[in-house]
Amino acid sequence: MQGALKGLAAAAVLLVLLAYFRGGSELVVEGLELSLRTLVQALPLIIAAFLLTGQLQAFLSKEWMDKLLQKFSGIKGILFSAAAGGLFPGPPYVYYPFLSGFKEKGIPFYLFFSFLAGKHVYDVARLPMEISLINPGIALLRNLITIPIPILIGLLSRRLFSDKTVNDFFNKDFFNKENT
Amino acid sequence: MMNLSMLVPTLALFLLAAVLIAVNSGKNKHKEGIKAGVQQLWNVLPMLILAFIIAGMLEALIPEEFVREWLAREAGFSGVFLGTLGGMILAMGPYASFPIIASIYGTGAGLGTVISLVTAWTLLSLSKFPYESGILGFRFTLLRMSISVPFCLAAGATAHVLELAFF
Repeated sequence: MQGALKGLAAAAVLLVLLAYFRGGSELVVEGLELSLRTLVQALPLIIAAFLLTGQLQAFLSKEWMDKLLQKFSGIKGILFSAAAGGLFPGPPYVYYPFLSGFKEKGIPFYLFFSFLAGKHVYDVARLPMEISLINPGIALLRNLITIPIPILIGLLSRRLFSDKTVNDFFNKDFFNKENT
Repeated sequence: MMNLSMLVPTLALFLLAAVLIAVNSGKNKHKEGIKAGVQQLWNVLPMLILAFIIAGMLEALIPEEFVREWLAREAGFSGVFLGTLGGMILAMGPYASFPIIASIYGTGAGLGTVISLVTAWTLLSLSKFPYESGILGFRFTLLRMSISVPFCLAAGATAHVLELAFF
């Protein structure tokens, strides 16, 4: 987080300097006014988004996800794991350690893949941010267009890796056909 | 003053939050949720402010000719490719990336560019790379990212075709 903050601060300073050398203080003021206007307009939506995100995190427990993820297989499993990924709360430092807990388990590899794609593409907890910080119309269109992606990724990986398990990937030579 | 396009989603989010507060209060988890939300907002606030400064500056700095030539609807599929590449290198969280994406849209970028940008950010953003490769391994990360690239291009291309047909 500190690294990202420093990177953003450096980028902001660089852009302000670039604006100054290209258009003088007028362009800097124009840029800052644009920033302030957008921030003020989005502020109530940002507050609502964080209020909702906190409640979603309290509502969805990791134990519940863990239990349900091991229950399904096949196309039903792909649909379920993609949806479960979208509902799973937390940033990368939460969901990657959760997924690493499945390394030793015999769940199909394609379910692991569709869960992760579901988390990346659907992420329900991120949706309020997308609506508030980008644009409600763009967020709606992006979500409608990308609904099939985690399912297609699951189907493609099922076709490519058929009955291989997560355990196969992490503990054996996954790409060697003799291991199937 | 808030415009109408922001008012409806704001009210909808407050309403949803209120419903979840009511549901969570049954399990006595609503306070935990409020605390988590406030804590998260407080943690990312400096990042949000910086991201909005960057977004405003980009909006003021990006030349119109560049947008017309490379990112706008007229740019065609080159915008989709650039959007996919841009989403991958936007190695920041949603609080920082989304205002920047909004500013690119604000300068006149086409729907194909913006949708491929957001989709590539969700699937390919290098911000996840250290966690994913560190925890699940470089081989896994490379495999997952390779499989995801065509889907980002397809999402952008779909948006571009929809924009040509309906907008």
